[in-house]
Amino acid sequence: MRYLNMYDSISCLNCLACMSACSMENRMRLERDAGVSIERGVNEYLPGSYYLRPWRREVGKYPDSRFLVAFEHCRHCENAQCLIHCPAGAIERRPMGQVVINPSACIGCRTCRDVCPFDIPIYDNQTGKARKCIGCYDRVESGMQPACVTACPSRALISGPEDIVLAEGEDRIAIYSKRLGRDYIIYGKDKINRVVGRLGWVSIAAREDAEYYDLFARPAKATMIARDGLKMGGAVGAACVVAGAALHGLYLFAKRKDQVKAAEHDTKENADE
Amino acid sequence: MNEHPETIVAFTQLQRSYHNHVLHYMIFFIITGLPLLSTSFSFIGSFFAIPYDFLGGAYPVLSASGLTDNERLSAGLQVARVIHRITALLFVVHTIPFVVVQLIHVRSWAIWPEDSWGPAALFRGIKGLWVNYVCFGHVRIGKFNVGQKLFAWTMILAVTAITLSGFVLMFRDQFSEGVQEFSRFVHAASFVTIGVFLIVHLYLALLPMNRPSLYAMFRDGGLPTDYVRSHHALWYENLTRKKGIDPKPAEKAEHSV
Amino acid sequence: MKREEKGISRRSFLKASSAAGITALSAIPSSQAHAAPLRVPGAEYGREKKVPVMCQMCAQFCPANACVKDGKVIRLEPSPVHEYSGTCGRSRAAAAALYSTDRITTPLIRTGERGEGKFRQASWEEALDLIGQKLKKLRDDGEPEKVSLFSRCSSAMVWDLTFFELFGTPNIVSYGDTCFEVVGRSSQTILGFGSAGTHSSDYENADYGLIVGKNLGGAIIPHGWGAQFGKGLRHGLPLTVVDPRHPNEMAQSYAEWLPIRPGTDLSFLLGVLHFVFRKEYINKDVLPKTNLDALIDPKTLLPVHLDKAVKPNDYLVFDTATQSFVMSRAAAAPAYEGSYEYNGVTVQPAMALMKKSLVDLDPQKLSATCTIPVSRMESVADKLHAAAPKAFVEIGYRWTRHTTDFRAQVCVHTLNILLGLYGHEGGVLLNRNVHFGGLPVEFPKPDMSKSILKWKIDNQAERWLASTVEGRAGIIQAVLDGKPYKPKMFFLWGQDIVAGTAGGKDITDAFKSVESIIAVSPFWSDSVMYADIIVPGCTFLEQDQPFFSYYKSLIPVIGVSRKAVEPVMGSRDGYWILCQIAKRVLTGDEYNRYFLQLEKEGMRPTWESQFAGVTEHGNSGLTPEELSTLPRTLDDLLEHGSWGTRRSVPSPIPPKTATGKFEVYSFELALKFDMLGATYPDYADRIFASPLPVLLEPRWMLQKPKLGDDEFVPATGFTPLSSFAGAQARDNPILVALHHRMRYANVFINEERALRLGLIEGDLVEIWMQEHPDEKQQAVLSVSQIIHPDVLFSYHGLGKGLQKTTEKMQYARKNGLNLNHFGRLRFSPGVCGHTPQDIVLKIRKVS
Repeated sequence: MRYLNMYDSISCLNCLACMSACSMENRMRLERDAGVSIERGVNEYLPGSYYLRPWRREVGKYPDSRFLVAFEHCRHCENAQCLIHCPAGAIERRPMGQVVINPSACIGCRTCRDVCPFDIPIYDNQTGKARKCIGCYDRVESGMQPACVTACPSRALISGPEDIVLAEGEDRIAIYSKRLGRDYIIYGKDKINRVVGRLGWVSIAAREDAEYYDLFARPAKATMIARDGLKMGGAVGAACVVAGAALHGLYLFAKRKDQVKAAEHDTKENADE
Repeated sequence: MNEHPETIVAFTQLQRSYHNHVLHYMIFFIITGLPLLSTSFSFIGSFFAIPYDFLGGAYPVLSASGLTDNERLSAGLQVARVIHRITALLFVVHTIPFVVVQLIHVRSWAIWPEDSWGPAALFRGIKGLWVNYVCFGHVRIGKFNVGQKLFAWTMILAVTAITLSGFVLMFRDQFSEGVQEFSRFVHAASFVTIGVFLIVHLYLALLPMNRPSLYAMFRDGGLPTDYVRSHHALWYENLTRKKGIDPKPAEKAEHSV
Repeated sequence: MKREEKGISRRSFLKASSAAGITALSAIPSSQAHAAPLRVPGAEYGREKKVPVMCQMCAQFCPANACVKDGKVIRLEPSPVHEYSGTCGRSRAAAAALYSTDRITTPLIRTGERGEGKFRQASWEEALDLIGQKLKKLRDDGEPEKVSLFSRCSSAMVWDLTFFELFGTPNIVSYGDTCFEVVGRSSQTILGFGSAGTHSSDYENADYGLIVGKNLGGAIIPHGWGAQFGKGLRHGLPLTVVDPRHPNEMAQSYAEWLPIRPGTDLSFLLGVLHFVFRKEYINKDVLPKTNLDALIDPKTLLPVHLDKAVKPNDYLVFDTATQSFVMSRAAAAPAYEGSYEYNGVTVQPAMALMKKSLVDLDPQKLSATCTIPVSRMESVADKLHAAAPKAFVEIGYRWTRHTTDFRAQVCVHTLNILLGLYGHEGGVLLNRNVHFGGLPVEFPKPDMSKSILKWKIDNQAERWLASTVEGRAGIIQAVLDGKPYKPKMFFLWGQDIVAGTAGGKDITDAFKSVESIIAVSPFWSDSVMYADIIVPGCTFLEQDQPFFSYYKSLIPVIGVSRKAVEPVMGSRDGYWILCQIAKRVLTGDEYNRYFLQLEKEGMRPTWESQFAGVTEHGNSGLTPEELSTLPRTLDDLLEHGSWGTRRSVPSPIPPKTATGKFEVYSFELALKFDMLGATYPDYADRIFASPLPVLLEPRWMLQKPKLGDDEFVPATGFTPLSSFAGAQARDNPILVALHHRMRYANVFINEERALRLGLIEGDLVEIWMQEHPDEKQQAVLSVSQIIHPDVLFSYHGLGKGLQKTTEKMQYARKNGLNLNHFGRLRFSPGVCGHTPQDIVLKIRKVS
């Protein structure tokens, strides 16, 4: 059973407690795992510690304008492109579905960032490695919820087994659709496209607002998909060329034999005369 | 003025030096780049970790518990990346003078079309390739046949593209994300192009019928004049027109050996 | 023909190439490397010590648990006391405040000019001796009242007030003069009780809400309001929000936003009231609970006959049943309409006068004032009526900004009462608090006759609705004008007047001229920069604190706060500091009687006394059933941590006015209105005391009816990640990084205005008041679609303003606006709260 996170943009207060909690939890992890004391860890900016980030978005023109905050977070995709493409095999999927970069294996090549349709992994200049949300797998596997989920005062972030979370999501969008008169979706519940599949972190939003929250209809990095095609094409091309060369070489060899025979024959003939 | 010189200079010293160095650079580029392009080549990455692993595994002070497979691969990839970048630096340093000199003489490049252009000329050239490589006949060509010219232009473009995109990838933070991602694509595209073309190039370079050219590149740069006269008639005529070399009557072309 | 060539032989070539080919082919099948699984770190999860604390990253005391490992705070979590529990992003970053390297680490004594920030280190002995000496001298000279205490979330909560009361000063003032002061006062006027935290709207059960003058997400109060509001949003609560800026925190997804000019909320609410009266939306069942049947003399606006001798007070009405004039309690069917002749005077019920006032208002004029279309006002009235009684008009919070704000809030109460929303599920409900026992020692009350604020109330026209507790700027004024006397000492224990109250140079002049300033604070602030002596008290994580219960929550809670870690950075427990000062100031007998136990036994006796008040004394505010769920003993409660119950069924809320009725027609105001006319005939703002709804414009609009191209009206909001100007948030790297992303320290203007001024996003601009052109503040500009065109918007508390404090703060933004630093003291009429936003500003690019 997959463990899902869910973000509800309707009940979100943009209080950013989730983001503050995330950064703080990562500083605690610095002490626990890397021996950086908490006193030191809370006295630095540490941009790499923010796995959740806000994007200010203004929509429309005054006075028919709105201000919303897009929530930049890892989706823990079913077909995690980062995991598939990592050259160091440094990205793994935990038993409950979280997609996690193993920092000791990461080589900082930023392929994960290049290939992520949502532009999530960030390259931490201080450590020389890529980092992204780990789904608080250490907390979840210890029976707790992710730090961001416990931080949310309006329960706009929930998490748990897939069926329970999605059931709550369905309940919520039923209420919203009825009372607010728009069409609401749970983005990531169903397969979005072949590139990402379903998501391990789904989002509730009005369908017409989806793009403002970076809930893309066709998430994909065109250049990197093209690159995948190139790799395939290159392999095929190389094979064809090698085969072609082999054929030509055999042909040449065979022809040469004939030539040599013919020349010998001539020589013999000349010699005989 | 040379009267009946035995050899004609096919490749200058700069050209030979550049080519032969680039050959080595390419080997390093390809070996260190492949594991980053595709995990199908991860074994190369692990290979690069052997010295590190040896030290790390054997001496507990460097690695308490020995390396996992992943750490090995990771270390190897790091080494590969460093080698890739050092090679890039050397390549660029070596390329600059080469490019400068070549550009000075751009008008006399042998890879421009001969007298005629256009699809008809192209088709004639390709037909000539067939005659040469399949029927083993002789064709009137300049220094390079059309295949070699197309190869050269492709390589110029691809190497330029791979270098520029490589520069972006080496100094990623100076460029926007869109430029970075596009550069990855260009880097891969140009590598695939170069790689496939290199296979052809290597094969043809090692063909017995092209042996004199191989020697020209790897020895003193010269081709026997007779050979030039029989195999690259146009080139020979151009040279004699320019330099006043006394042409011997063209002998019956010999079959290549 | 050569058969043998030099170099690579054919055979060897073929061999080599086939070998290469096979290798190449074998490379193609994927040998994808996989990461070795990460070991889950040996989790201390579940094994950290959890200490109950009340978070004081802002002033709301939300119950939290500090997770402590190896004597260090590694996390703050919300304490799950009830269904509306929560903490916010500031709380989550508390460890960064606790361990901040910008904290004050030793006592400091000023060496430079006041406000310059030059201090020398001193020992605790020296500092405390000096403080004690100064205080003792004033007391011995018979002038203890010359000391003013400015306490807020102090490190010696509750006891600091009693010490200074014992010391003998009545000048102990609160801090809500730009914030909640007016909210409380308007509540008291109409309902007879209340402060800013008295009410909660029932978000989760409402069918519609109108929110003016409050942003439930900005400066979020997560425990209580924030979580309750979140629940309302999850129920798809339909909302209309009225705000000069689109408030994404409340309304990012769907609410109707009505952009409004600052300070014109009154116009908008009068418009809504206009339609409520015109369209007969008033709930008739509620009328008997109001005093709208009182007969009023339209000329004086006074009740015809008000009997103050009886309790509750009674007043004259016209009983339609008996067609006679009787006192209201004797009336069977009092009239709410019509005119009557009483002793030769034509009188009318208050309702009739009110109705006429409102219906006579021209909606077009109202709309022109606030720039909200008439149709929207009408639609809001319609929606409130359609959803009633499951609707609410949100009672504001930080709504002491313009001269007109008090009048606007009176309209809010009027709407809630007359539409029948008040005290009803889905409407506006009362928060519930637990009442504790007092301190273990009973302290004497000070002689209020010497209170500066009381003197001002008694002697100044403008203070006709003021209190002796709110209005700290009155103390500032006393320093400047010496009336009734000039204070000689400011004792700052948590308040930041320089940053937090409007008054600009008047305040800093007062701070420069008062004889001595003492500050107890772990962090730097604008006001602390002016102190003569600073001693670093502890934060909330480093000491025990008394129980607390004034939460903005429908469910009663006992907040427990215990010492989570030993004091860090050289700070000391605030109660220890208090005892040390008391020891040096009080007589031996006094000290032994009042403070010895605190010194020797710490917080325990206080807890015992507070707890006994809940369990034994019968007026805890809890039902017997709720009491039965309380931990049995004090130790159980301390072990349990913060405690709460469940939401109870709402009951109707009785008014507590002198008449026992909802004084929608406020007799208090009517009497004041009359008094002002008689006593202060030159007083220009008498109309603000009118008991009838009248259209009034904010001061800025009277000064500048038409704004020039480079002129703006300021509006401020709060970020959910800052705490007024407090260093714990402003200088907190965890939070500041997020401030940058959200551009919280920028100033915002409408794009159309920016274009006209040739300004673009990111420009550095300077901002000033025309009256004071040499007091310029600099800020980075953001250009926006979500700001009313007349407005210059900034978030409060992150800007540098005009002070030098950010020199002591490595992370705080080095530019940015603090509105309070502009201008001079500017009081609102009546309540005499401040009006920080009731000004006009000019803006220009810094070249």
